[in-house]
Amino acid sequence: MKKIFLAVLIGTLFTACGGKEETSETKENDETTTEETTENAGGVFKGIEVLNSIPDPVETAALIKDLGIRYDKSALNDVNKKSSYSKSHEQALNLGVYSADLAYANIYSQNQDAIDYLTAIKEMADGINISQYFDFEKIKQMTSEGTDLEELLKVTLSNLHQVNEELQKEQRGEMTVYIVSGGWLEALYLSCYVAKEAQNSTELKEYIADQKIILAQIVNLLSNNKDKSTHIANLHEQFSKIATAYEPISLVYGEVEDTENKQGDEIVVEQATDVKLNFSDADFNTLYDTIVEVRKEIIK
Amino acid sequence: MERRSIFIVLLLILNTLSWRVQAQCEASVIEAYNTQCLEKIKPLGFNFLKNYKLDGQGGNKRVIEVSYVFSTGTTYVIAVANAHAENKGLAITLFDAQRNKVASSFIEDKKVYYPAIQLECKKTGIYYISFSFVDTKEFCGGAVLGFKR
Repeated sequence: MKKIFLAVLIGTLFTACGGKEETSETKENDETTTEETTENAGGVFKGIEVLNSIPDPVETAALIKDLGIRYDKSALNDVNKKSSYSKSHEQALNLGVYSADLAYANIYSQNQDAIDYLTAIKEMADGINISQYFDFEKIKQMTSEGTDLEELLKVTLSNLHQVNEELQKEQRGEMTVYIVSGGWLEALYLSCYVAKEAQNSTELKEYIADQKIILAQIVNLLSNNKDKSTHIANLHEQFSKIATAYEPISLVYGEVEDTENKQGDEIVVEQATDVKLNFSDADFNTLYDTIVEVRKEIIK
Repeated sequence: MERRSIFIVLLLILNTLSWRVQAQCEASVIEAYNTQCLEKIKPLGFNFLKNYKLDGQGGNKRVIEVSYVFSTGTTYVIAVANAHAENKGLAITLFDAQRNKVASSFIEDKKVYYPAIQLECKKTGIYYISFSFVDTKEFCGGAVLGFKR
């Protein structure tokens, strides 16, 4: 009888735990649920949920393409460097870097380059034991066949998000921090790289100025967790240099007016506001040099 | 002995109920809802960014909140899908960084649920997207965040 009792009890608990794993973005003891759940449960990295809010590098790639700037492979991290990244923190950081490069190559429909970056990502993913979350064969096939970009992005981005969710569940949040930080830095570098070349780069400069908001979140996360690892402490130091370079730069917003319309099946909200960009050429050069220096340290 | 048997039966019932709650919102069901969302946003020229699993766990979770940094000059769309063609019972509410309500997909006086909210963003910042199960007994859905320039 005791055995039956134990079996039923374990069965019940196991089922309940399974439910929790299905919803990485939900909180257990509250009606309102947020993305911070997994980290609260893991208890490893304070405030890591902020990473779920960081814009995907594909947005930066889309902005660059939208401005009519030509594809420039030389801006990207060399895929041949992949075998030189042997330590797990290097692999995770450069998985992020290569993911941003993949997004850039993808959005310009540079299929061969995209395949090369996928191969590099696979090697990084193998190194940190997360390749099971990527369906590389499917992605590679889609890339080589020139599949609809939207579908390709959905699969690659979903895989990357799943990686971050799973890493957080496995209490390997540190790896997520490296992946997201590496991806964000590479996207920032690419936007600065093209802004340096672009004739009329006001839109890009506004975009770059706004990244200060995201940088502050990442630096705060790194600061709160820098005692957990020397690599996190080092990354905090590197990103703090960028934060210092950002100090004189700002995009100041006036009051925002939201206008709501119903268009067909959707609620459409248009925002209107005034902006004032404080971003001199000297500030840009200082920021760019700092980003190049920090990136060099990461992709060396 | 008899009390122990009753306890075991109760546990078995609990186990079954727990299993049923999960079965209602399985990953494959959510995936299908997410695909529906993608089909909605694709013709409008939006690129996929993220999908969200909306598992209300049988009503234990009525509100699921996520956040994302929206960027100036980009238009975002948040689309939802559930078992109803008209998204009945599943509402999206968008809040800005100061938690001011920007828009809701649920028109309360008309009891109408819109399947998507678009935001033409002119102020970069963190935005909170709240998915609510309203007056419903079905607590399962999918959502997709997309963007276009």
